[in-house]
Amino acid sequence: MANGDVVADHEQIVRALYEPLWSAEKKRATSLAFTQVDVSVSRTAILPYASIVEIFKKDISAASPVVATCVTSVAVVSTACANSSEAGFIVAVVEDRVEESVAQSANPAHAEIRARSIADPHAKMSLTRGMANAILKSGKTEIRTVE
Amino acid sequence: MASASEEAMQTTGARREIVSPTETNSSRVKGGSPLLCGYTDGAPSPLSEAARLALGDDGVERLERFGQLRANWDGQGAHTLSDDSVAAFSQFFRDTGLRPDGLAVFMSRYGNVAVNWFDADALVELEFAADGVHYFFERTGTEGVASSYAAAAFFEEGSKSAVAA
Repeated sequence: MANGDVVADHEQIVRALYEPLWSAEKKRATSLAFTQVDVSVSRTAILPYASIVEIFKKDISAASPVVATCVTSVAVVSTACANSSEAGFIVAVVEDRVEESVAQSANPAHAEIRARSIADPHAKMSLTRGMANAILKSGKTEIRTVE
Repeated sequence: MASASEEAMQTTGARREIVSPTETNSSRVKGGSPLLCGYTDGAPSPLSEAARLALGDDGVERLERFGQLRANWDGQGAHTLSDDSVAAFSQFFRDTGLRPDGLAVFMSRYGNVAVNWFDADALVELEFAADGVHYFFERTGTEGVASSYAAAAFFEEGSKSAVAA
């Protein structure tokens, strides 16, 4: 596979949930964790969960501690976004391997949940709150406390 | 099926009224805990008493921590906490008197205050942005944006169950 290739539905993906998008006290996240443009996720088919968490901790903890992860699947994202065309966009999880840089660690498992306008495939869109909430609430989604 | 009050909010939201930014006193903060205690020059806290009650002590402290986060806290260009959003959040809870059980407070990558809670097992989520209050009601699957005034009016009429006695 190469960057930009669509990740298969059966693959498991992990999203970092960190303050201020996650409340450890209430043990829940806001749907905003999945409504930004090009949502970063990592694939457990490429790296073990523990290795992915180490990358999260290294890259994100400096600014805001990683306290949890949301483990879900591409299939869940596809189902949650099944009606996106009615809102004028399509959603796909695509490979987006990250090379080592000053700003971030290498992450060969990195992928993105991308929403693009049907009218203009270059126009970046974001998931609706309903879609995001469906991903968070999916039965296949679990929250694991990291720290 | 949406309740009458939720339908009213959706209709209002469709107009996408613009909320005027409210002046805040952040430039006068000299340290300490302005959300809890007010400003060192004697100016009051930007959080209304109603907003503090809705948040609870833990929520206020959490919001304080958000205020300490530097720009780019997500490594992707996230903004610092918006004074205007804090003011809009504060005014909304002052206007509505809402005090939902289990309210959790968050901050968006744009620095906006967001809250969510469960109303009869269905999530309600609000984000206080420059263009109004972004709302999501899981029960009906509806979402949109309304002016702060319209959102407050909606909750005053439609969510009495969440209002503290």
